[in-house]
Amino acid sequence: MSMKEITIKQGTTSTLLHEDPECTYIIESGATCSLVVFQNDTSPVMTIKVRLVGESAVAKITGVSIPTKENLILRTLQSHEAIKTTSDLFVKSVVFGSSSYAYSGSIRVEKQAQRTDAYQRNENLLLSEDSLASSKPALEILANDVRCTHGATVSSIHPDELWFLESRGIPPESAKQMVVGGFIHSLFERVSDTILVSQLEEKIWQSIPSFVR
Amino acid sequence: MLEIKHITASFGEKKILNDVSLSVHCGELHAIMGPNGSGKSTFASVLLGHPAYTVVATKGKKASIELDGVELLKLATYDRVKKGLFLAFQSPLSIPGVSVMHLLRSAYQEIHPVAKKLEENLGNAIFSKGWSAEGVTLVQFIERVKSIAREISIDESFLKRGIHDGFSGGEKKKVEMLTALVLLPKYAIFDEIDTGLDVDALKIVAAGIERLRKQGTGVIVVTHYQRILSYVHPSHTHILVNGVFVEHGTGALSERIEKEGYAKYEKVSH
Amino acid sequence: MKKSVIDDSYKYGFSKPEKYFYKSEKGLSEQVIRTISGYKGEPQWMLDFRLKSYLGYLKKTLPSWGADLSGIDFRDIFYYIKPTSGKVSSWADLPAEIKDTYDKIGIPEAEKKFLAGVSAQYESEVVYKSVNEMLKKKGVVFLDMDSGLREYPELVRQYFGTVVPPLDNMFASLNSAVWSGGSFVYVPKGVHVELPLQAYFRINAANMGQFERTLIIADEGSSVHYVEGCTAPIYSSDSLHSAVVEIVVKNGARVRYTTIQNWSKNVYNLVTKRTVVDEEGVMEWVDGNLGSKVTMKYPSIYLKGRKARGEVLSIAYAGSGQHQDAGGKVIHLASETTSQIISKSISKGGGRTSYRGLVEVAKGAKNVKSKVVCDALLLDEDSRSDTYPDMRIHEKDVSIEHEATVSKIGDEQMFYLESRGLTKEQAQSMIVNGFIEPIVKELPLEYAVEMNRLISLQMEGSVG
Repeated sequence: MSMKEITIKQGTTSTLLHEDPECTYIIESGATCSLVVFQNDTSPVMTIKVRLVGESAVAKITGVSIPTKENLILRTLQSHEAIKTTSDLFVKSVVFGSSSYAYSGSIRVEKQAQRTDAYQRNENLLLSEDSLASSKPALEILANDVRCTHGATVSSIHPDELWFLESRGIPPESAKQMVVGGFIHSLFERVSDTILVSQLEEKIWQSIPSFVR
Repeated sequence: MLEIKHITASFGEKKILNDVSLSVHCGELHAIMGPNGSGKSTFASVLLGHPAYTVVATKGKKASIELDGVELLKLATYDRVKKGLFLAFQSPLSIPGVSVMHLLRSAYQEIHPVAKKLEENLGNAIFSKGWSAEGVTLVQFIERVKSIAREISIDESFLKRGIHDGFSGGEKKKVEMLTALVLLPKYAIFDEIDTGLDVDALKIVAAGIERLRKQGTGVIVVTHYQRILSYVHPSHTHILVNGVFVEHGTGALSERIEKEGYAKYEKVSH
Repeated sequence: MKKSVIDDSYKYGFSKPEKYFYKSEKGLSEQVIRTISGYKGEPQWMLDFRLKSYLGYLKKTLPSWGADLSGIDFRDIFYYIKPTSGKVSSWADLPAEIKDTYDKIGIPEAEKKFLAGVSAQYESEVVYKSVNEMLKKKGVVFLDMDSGLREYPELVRQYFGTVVPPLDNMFASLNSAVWSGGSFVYVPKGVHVELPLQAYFRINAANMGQFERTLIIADEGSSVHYVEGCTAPIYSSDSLHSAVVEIVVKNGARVRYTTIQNWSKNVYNLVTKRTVVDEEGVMEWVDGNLGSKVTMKYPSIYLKGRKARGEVLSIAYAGSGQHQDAGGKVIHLASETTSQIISKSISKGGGRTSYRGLVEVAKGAKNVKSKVVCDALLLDEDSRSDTYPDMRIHEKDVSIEHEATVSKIGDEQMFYLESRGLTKEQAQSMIVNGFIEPIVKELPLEYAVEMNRLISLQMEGSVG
């Protein structure tokens, strides 16, 4: 069975909401693809491949995963196959209850893909004693004239953050909700399509369990 | 009146405040001065009920913190704040993604609630809580925040940024001042508000304190140096050394400290 | 600047005529193991340990991940060689030939300065050791592993194979079966060893596997710094080096283990290094990998006690034909434990560096903090860099960060330095030395100087 493929034609710009279990995006020269990814319990495994096949192709991937009951897996590949290509990925997860989130993201820079600029970042917020996150990036760089950065964090809400909000009159449950909202919201500063963002925030809101809402 | 009586507080095993009492009336300005490690910041945190500190009674005397007759000691931090207490932090935390405006809006509604709710949807799923606050619509509230921000030279773009996230020391202090002016507390404590400020920012902060006081807020300024006290004029000065108030006086006392330092008290308390 | 005489050839690739007392047959069998153990006069439990490990080894397969190990021919290796007769007790008694070899790698300098701590190893057994009276007075034990087994059998038996179990991985099994040499260190409660304990290793027989076994026990509240530096001559066929290092850090103790690995470019260096750290103990691995054909080494730290701390500082350099697959692992098993892994790698002339790491937080380990930073520098278009970090977090109250960058030397940096009159080579060498400086500054001075010199030599004649 072949994977679904979407081609972003030469010189065009597309902003797409990714909700499929699997998809390969092929980005041609001069094209820009901005992907917004949303994953919740209904799509436990997602695989996203971005192939930058033409000179100066750009991919920007912004994603949120919200496991509340299931174990979610997100796999991404940023494949730089042509010169002067750029990829910029930032995915976050908020892990509730006894669910888990496993991120594995690869950046591959082929020998011919000189002057590549690749970025990958994964931040995870654990909300319960039983929640679990793993982050497994892999970078394989075969060209030398590149700029390639990745980072990952796993953390929970710090009691000092909640106390700071409490000191402004916010009750603990609202404070927790505020920190989670902020954690997600700050990601969408990357997305210029505000209508898409508000649709997405609505979906996220529906996915968040009531005890933090 | 904010009435603090016989507060002894410890951090873990270590006793930091020892039988501290203080009364502040509406519209008064008090200065608490003391050397580093004297317990000044602990005093501010204890008033707000920071969980790291344990408050105990002093030798059979009853410990209490009463705000206009309401006992605060048993209340959670946010409930104390709802009763009208405010603390401006020496080095406030940052919370990415929670904008200054969002926090002010949420806090204001908590502190100034109304029985009859006026629902207004903001169209933002994550933050779409209805607006309901005493005597002001959301539009009026936002305009008020913006206008106060202008008055104390905070650029409007800061209001959209995550609270204190990437702010400079001076910007943080001004945003703390903005918060106090917007929330209109009955009693406000400013913990080392003058550190890290240039002269212009210091004047702005001093003007903010004076404005609060004139509106009827009882203000406590906690400071190491006399610097801020050249711009605001406390009616009462209290000297805290090793967790004990060693002297109470008028504004003139702070000027004496500027000349003489704390050395004489530190000798006494040893 | 003078062109390097070595260019791509190996700097210390000189070899001495071999002079041996006993040499086992090539290849491995139960008989070879019985011979090794019998020759050393080991207790029965150690022979049993070796045989059990050997049986385990036979069932193991090469790892499916990491570097290409298909070039190792396990049948074509001498598993034990005993050089010269007995041990010598002072520098003067060392055979002239060995001294000459040490001269070339600069050991006399260390001898003068650190006679106290030197335990130089020739072949797979320690032949020279000079233990300072001060160490003895403090009750510090610093022996080769074989002597350690003879003189402190109970202590060795209690800990040997507990940190790295014999069936942990294929190479740990192999080492457990045929180990020879290495160091045994015991630091008593509350004792601080001020001078670094140093051991020099050297392979000097074609096709000889080197299977040192080191066990360090730092008792409560003690501290010690152990340093190993290796250089090895070039041979025509591949050579295997597979050590096991076990370190036990008791409550409040502190151990730093520094390695400068500079094997010649035909050596497979496959090492298992692991520590278990008790309450408020501190373990620091400082690991420099410059030589070898293939290195696979991930110093590991199990933070078992509350408030234990672990650090891994790693430098890897891969030139032509080299693959450095290095990194670090930290397993947080207790609350309030903290860790940091800093890795810097440089690839040049077709070399490949890989960072492979793991940070794991076990269920129940609260308030854990960990930070991993790995930076890679690619010096030309034939080279390659990989980063494979892994984070597995089973607890909520944690702060875990990982950052990595891969880049080349900036044109602006080069231009700036060249505008100040430096040649391309000098500029490149300066930038690379600056890149690894945060780790080099943690090395003992003489090693830091050596490290900078080695990097400079590698940079020379390579640009333009």
